[in-house]
Amino acid sequence: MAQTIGKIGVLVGVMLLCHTGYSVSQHLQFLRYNEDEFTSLPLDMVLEALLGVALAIWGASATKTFKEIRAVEDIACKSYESFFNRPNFMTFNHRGKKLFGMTN
Amino acid sequence: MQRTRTVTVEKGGETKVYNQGAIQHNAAVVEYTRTCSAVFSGMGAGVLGLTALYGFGFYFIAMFGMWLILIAKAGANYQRYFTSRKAILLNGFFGSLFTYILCWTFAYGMVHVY
Repeated sequence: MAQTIGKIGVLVGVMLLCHTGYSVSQHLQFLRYNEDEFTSLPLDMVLEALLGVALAIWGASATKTFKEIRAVEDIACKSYESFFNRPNFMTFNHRGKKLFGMTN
Repeated sequence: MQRTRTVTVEKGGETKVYNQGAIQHNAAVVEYTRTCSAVFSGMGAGVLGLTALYGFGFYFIAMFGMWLILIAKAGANYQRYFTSRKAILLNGFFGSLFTYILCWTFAYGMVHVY
């Protein structure tokens, strides 16, 4: 659930940034046509860009989750029997294939 | 069943055992968030038309904001997820600066130059 909200946050933030970029370039073009001097950007564009950055950063952090690093937490949810299971010593090439196998 | 690879750390007379895979996973999450925030803040700085030291100041502010967000995400007992809070801010701090400069100059060029 948090992952989906985070992705939506990234999407909305990037769209806000793109929209701000477009409006800033329009604003600069407007100034050029009127032969005005550029002093500073309008406040709404600055706020929109900052909001977009903040939303995208928050969204990027919300798409991932942390894992518990203490080893006790990982071991606690395993059963006692599973500690005697040694997959490295398993062998499948034995008489059982001849005795109980479906083929041959 | 896969065995849990562990790291043992002795600090101040007490021994702590950490899950190595989980530590690497959390470091990867922080690295992902750092790269993403470098890209987004670089885009923001370029759109706002920041130049020279203002741009670098914006990077520092953005990284500090990302650090605060991650700390808030880890919560009050952050020891469950990280060994230190300071490492979240400082690990790879200047590495992602290059990603930031790339996006910054790109967005600045797209909006303000052309």
